[in-house]
This record gives sequence, structure tokens and C-alpha cells, in this order.
Amino acid sequence: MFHPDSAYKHSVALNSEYFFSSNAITNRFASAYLLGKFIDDNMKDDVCNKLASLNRFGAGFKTELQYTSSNDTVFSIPKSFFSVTLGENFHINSRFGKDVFELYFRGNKDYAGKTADLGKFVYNQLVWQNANFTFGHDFRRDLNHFGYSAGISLIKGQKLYHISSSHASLFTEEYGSYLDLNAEISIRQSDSAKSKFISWNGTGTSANGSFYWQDKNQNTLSITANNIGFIQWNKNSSFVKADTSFRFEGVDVSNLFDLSDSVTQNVSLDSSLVEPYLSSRVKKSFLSPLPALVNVSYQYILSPGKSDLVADVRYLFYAESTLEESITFNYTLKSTHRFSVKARYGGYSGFQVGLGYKSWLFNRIMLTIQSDYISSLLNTKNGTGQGAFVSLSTYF
Amino acid sequence: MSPKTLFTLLLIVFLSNCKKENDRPQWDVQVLGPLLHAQLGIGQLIGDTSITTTSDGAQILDIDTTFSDFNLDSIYQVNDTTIPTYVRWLAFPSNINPNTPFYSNNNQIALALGPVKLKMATIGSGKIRLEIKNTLHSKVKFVYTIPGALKNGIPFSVTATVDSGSIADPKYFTNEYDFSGYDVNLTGPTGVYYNTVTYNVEARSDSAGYPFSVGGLDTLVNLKTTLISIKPYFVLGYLGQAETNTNGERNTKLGTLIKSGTIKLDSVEMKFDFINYIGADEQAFITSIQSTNNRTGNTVGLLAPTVLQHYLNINRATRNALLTDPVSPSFYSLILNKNNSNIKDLLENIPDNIRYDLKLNLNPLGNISGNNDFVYSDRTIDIRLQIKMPLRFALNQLVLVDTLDFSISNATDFDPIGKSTMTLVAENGFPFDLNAQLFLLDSTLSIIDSLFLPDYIQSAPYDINYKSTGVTRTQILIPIDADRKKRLLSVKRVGIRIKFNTPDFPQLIQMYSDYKLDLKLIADGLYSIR
Repeated sequence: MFHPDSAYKHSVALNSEYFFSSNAITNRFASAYLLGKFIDDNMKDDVCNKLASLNRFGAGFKTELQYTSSNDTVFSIPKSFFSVTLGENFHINSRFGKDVFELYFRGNKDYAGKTADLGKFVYNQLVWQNANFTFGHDFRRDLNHFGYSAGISLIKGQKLYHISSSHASLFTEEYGSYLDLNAEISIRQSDSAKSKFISWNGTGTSANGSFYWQDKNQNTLSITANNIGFIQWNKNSSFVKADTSFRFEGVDVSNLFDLSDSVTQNVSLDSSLVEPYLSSRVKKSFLSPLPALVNVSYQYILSPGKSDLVADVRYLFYAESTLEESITFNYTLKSTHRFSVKARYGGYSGFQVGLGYKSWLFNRIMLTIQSDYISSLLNTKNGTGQGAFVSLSTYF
Repeated sequence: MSPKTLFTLLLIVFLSNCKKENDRPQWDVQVLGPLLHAQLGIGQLIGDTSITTTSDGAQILDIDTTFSDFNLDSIYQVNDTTIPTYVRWLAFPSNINPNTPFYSNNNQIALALGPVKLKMATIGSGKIRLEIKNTLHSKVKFVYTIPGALKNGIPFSVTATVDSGSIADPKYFTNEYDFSGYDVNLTGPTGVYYNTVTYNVEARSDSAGYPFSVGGLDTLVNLKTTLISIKPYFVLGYLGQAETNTNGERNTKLGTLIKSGTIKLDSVEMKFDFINYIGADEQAFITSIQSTNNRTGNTVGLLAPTVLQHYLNINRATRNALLTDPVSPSFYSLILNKNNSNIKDLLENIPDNIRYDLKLNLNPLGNISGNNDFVYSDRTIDIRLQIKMPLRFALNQLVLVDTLDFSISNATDFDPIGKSTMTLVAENGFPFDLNAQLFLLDSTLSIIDSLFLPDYIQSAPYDINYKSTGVTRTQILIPIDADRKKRLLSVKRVGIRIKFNTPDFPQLIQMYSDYKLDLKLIADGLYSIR
């Protein structure tokens, strides 16, 4: 295995990861959106060519600082370790129909005389920080190695914006003389007045755990679970629920023509369009789950110390993701460089090919650079995923 | 290349690619949808909503208004009056001991009310001011009483103490007292007078003082009573005979709306109710009624031989036992219509003003009530005017114009709107053509833009009876470029001009309640998401 010498008892790691992935949203489009650029018609066309009746995207950014201590005994348990981690997490996921994209990014003019189906829509944006403590223990039975770990996190919720709709439609009259909105929609939002890093808008907890079994041939089966938890958002959070039909015919200015009346006319488009529909806004505390990842992995050693194959199956709960499968070939060179090639399918996108590199530097630093979306990054026009993982660890 | 250098380069490339151009992404969408809408009935179009509907849907202009121009001062008026009470010592010099009343007398004063003879009055508002001057060498206590003025059964009474003074150094007391709410008996001490107030003044030496001497011509009492702004709420007695000339002008507001054109009406019925709340007979004499159109300078006088310049006898009101509404008024009604007058011509003149000249005679037969006339100040004579006019008319180039304040809230909400076209969709259910125009006005009310070009809205289809059989849809395109958008968002005042033409003028056209003009402003254009 590519692993530092067990003589090191302590390590500090800085890990950073981001990803964007979709079955339809292209990298060019996503980059323009996330970086505040202008989205032109070509970008929209590229996305539209890929849109299915139901689509997904997910994006995330995660940074964490982790300290790990491996001792002969922890809590009087031999061959144990514990780690303390501080993390910053940003996550977006969405499930949307084709018409949602068309309406949102092109407008409703193309739907004149038609109904846009906006149903089964989910948008979920979550920002939180966590402090984690994890305890682990390795042990041996005959020629087999086993290990497990369990941890718990205290979570500070910074921001939530969650929209869901089981059914929704917008009909645009042929000449635009009225719009019919028919929708069931609910919006949950954390305190909108406080959304900065220091804002503590919710409190939660999550659990993580892992187990591995390594046989005498060093083939390893492992199961990990992360972020099994929730955030309870405080009472300043807002909840809007609407389940109604609403016809918008413009702001009523009949009084404008009441020639005997001298009342000043004041026209407000926003209040006439939005308020009649989203009128049941309440402030209350509520709970939201975290995107929880469960991963099952099997590593098969092709050549001890040289090469292996790893098969993964993972699922991200509460995040509109699909089951993701992958297989990774790892090759170690001179015990200090390790290269990997990964093929994966599922999650938020289709087939992707990734590359990874890990290096043991100066006999105390581990550098890891990895991307699961190399194939999409190279396909600049139609790629629908991007991401990178960078880790820098020092051992002492 | 060392791994460290490679890592540094990768980091630089990664960070430079992640630089944000704007806080939010930007894109354009094509929007089609309604902005404004209005549904107008005939009430809005003619600037009056006093419209009723018959069982067959025909509409009637139904105005019912009551006004009162009667001035109570024309019957009586209590002027501010000062009543002196001045008493000198006429006997031999004498000592006055402490706590000794040295003057007490009932006085009376007759109010100057002309031919009006009042027995009783309830004061609605007003004050009594007392001014006392003391030159005696003793503190003096005055008790001032109006025994015939009762409030909750208690007479009006005030006590005032004036310090010791001298001729060279007199001492004064001045104060004002609220007199409202008092029932005042005006028949004097024996009950046989009118308009007479009885009051009593008592002067008493200081109970804690010393004896003092008074000599010839020393002033014992120098007191002035002033009635200030006395307004009776109710009076009882004989109100006298009075002739009141009432003339005035009622602005119809039509002149400010109608700028040109002519109108033909089917019929008009105008009913006057004279409602007399005064407990005295009245006689009305309508000298003239005229309608004046300031624009054309045309004046039409009312011709009504059975009404004008005739004495109209209006009976007196009577009092009843109801505390909340103690007056039973009398009514006198007269009706003007096309059978007894040219009232239709008066209104077809499209008057800015209706002028009237009216004479009212009070108690034309003299004191026939035995001094039991009465009047409440808040209920005198009302004139109720009811106009019923079927909305069956013919209009020829009739132009209504109005301006009003107008503003768009949160104008920045409209910043993302790019070049676009607004469409005014008019669905006209009226059997007549319209030319409607919306003007944007600057601070000097000069027109800076006219939105509707062309401004013609076609009539609804109609049958041989000129009754609408459907609606006609007219679309007027309004291109919105940057300049026009700026004008729209900054405008503070708009002008509206609507021109009407009914078909085959002077053919009369009946209006029905289901006639509507639906206006809708639809936006079709580029909206930039920022």
C-alpha cells in the first residue's frame, strides 16, 4: 500500500475539493453561471441539446483541516487513532424538467399558447461548517486485518435555500394577455438577513463511520458513511407554502380611468405579481437533512506494492443524486509516486474518466491531486462535469 | 520541474480561472406577458359612478345629493354684548363689618334680537367674561348668579374675591367662563318678558378682614359682564319675519372633464325636496336657475312656468318626544322633467356651473304659533336634489380630458427591461368608437410623449337597435426604446384623453351594464437577468 511509515504518529492535512456535475448542464455554462459571466445563446443551446425530460445537477465545495494522532493506545485501546477536523461545506443540487431550464434561461415567449411543465422541481443549497471528532481502531484476526472508526460532528448551519414543487405549470396565453400559474411549491430559507460565514442560523449534528476488512492477500473491502445527520434551523427561518392556481392579468389600473377620482396612481409590478401567490410566509424553525454519502469499496491487489483495482459503489442521500459506480486502476512507482485512472458512471452525470496523482515528498509530506472529470474538462463544448481534489498532508 | 513548482503553478492556474466577473451571472430572456389591465364601465368613462341598473340591464345616472345653504344668522344673531353693573353708596357714611353683604340685587338685561322674541335658548357655544374693579379698603367677595341658566339643574354661578384697593390703586379681577350647555330662561324674573336675561350680584366684605367705612359716592360694585360668541343650539319663541335671498353656484365638474363636443340626451328628471327642520313656516320663491358652459360661453335658463317665480309654501316642522331626533320636518317636493321644463336643454349645455337664485320668507303669516317657533342650529333647511337620467344619449366628438399624479414604485425593477414592444389590447363592448390617448406630462403639464399611435378603438358590433352584439378587439403597438422607457419611469403626471362618437348622431344609444371596455397592456421584449 501507498502509505507513510507507521513510525509517524501525527499528521496534519489540508484537503480541498470542488465538483460540478450534471447530465445536461455543460461546464462552459456552469462556469459562466458560477463566475458571474454572461450566458449567451450558444451556451444555452449546448445545454438544451442534452436536456432530458428530467435532469439533475450537483455542485459542491469542501475544505477541511484535519489533525490525526495514531498512538499505541487511545482510550486504553491498542492500535487506535483519533482525528479532529474543522470543515467548511457548500452544496447545491437540483432536479428539474426541461421546461424549467427553457423558461428560466430563455423566457416564456416561446411558450406562447403553450403550457410549460415545471413540476417535480427541487433546488437545494446548503452551506455549513463542522467540527468532527473521530475515533478508530485497527486489529488483526489470524491473517486478516480489520478496522473501524466512528465519529460525530457538531454543525453550524450558515445558509439554506430549498425549493421544492411536486407539480407546477405556467400557461402563457397566445398573445400574452394572461399567465396561468398552477403550482404546489414550498420554500424553506434560513435567516436571509444573516448569511455570512459568521452567521449561526442553525445547529445540527452528524455521524460518520467506517469499517474495513483486509484479507491475507491485502484485498480490502471497506464501507464508509459520512454526514448522516441534520441541521435544525432557527426560528428566524422562513417557510412559504403555496398550492393554488393564480392568473396574472397585469396590475389593475382601472382607477386610472376613473376621471372623477383624483387618487394618485402608484404601480408596483412586484407586489401585484408575487404577493397574491406567495402570501403564506411564516417564520419558524425546521429541520433539514444533510447530503449523506454511503460508499462501498473493494480493492483488489494486482501486484503487491505496485498496482491494484478499486471498485466503488456510492450513493448520496437527500441530494437528488443517482447511484454512482466506479472502477479505479492504481499504479505505484518507486514507492513515492502513485498514479490512478478512474472510470465512473452515475451520480449527477453519465460516464466520466478521471486521473489522480499522489506523491510522497521530503519523506514527510503527502500531496494528492485528483479529478474525476478529466474527460469532461477536455471536452470543453459538451463536457458536463468538472472537479478537483487537492490534499496536502504532513506527518511528524 | 520539482513537485513543489508544479503544485504552485497548478494553484495559480486554478485560482485565475475561478475569478468572478460579476456578483451574479447574466443572461437575457424573451418575456411575453401582461403588465397592466383595466376594465371600464360607462361609469369610469363618463367620470361618474352614480349609476343604477334596471331589470333589463339599462343604465341610469342616479344622482342624489343634499345641500344646505341656509344661514341661521338671517333669523337671529346674538352679538357680543357687555352689560355694566355699577353701584355707588348713596347714603350717609357708614362702617361695614367683616362678612357682611353690603350689596345684593337682581338685574336684568334684554338682548337686542330685533323682531325675534325668544323665550328660551340652549347655548351651543360661547363664554361669559366677568371683569370686576374694587376700590374699597377691604377684600370683597362677589357671587355672580344667573338663576335662569341651568345646566344639569344647577344655575350658572361663579364666586370671585377681589383684593382690597383704593381709588388710587384699584384691584381687578377678570375671568372667562364656559356658557355652553346651559338652558337659559329669557322671560325675565316674572316670566312675561322676551329676550331677557336675569342675573344677580352679591358683594360681601371679607370675613377675615376689618370693619371699613364707606362714604358718599364711593363705588361699591363695578362689574362688567360680557357675552362672547354666544351661539344658541336651540331657541324657542317667535322667530320673526325675515326674507332671505339665497343665490349661488354649483360646480358640476363637467367642464373640467369635457373639453369639446356635443351631447344629446333622451330625458332627465330632476327632483327638489325642500326639507324644513325649522319650527316656523317658510315660503320659497325660485327666481331663476341657469346652466353655464364656460367653454362655449353658452347659458341656458330654466323654463318651468309652474315652478319658477311662484310662491312655494313650506309648512313648519314640529317637535316630538324623541330625545335623539326631536324634530319632525316637513317636506315640499317639486319635479322638473321634459313635460314641465327645458331641464334636458340645461344639461345638454354641458354646464360647468348651475346658478340659482332663491328667496325664502320666514313666517309669512306672522306670529301664528303663539311664540312657539323653534330652530336647532344644526338642522335648518336642506335641499335634496335627485337627478335621474337614463344613459341613453348621442355623443358627437365628445372629448373627456383628465390629468392625475402617477408614479411607478421601485423603478429600478424595470432596469433589466430592454428594447421591447408593448401592445395595448382593447376589447370594446360599447357600441361607439373611441379615441383614447395616454400622455406623459412634464412638470409644466406639457406633453412629452403620446403613447398610443394610432389611438383609435373600434366600436363593438351592434344590431339595428344600436345594441352591442359582441366585442371588437383592437391592438395598438407601442414601441419602447431607451428614451421612452426613461420617460415612462420618471413621469410623475399623466394625462388621459378619450373622445367618443356614437353612431349616426343624433341617434340615441342606450347604455347597458354589460358594456365594458377591457384594456390590457402586454409586454413583449427582452429582459436582462442581472
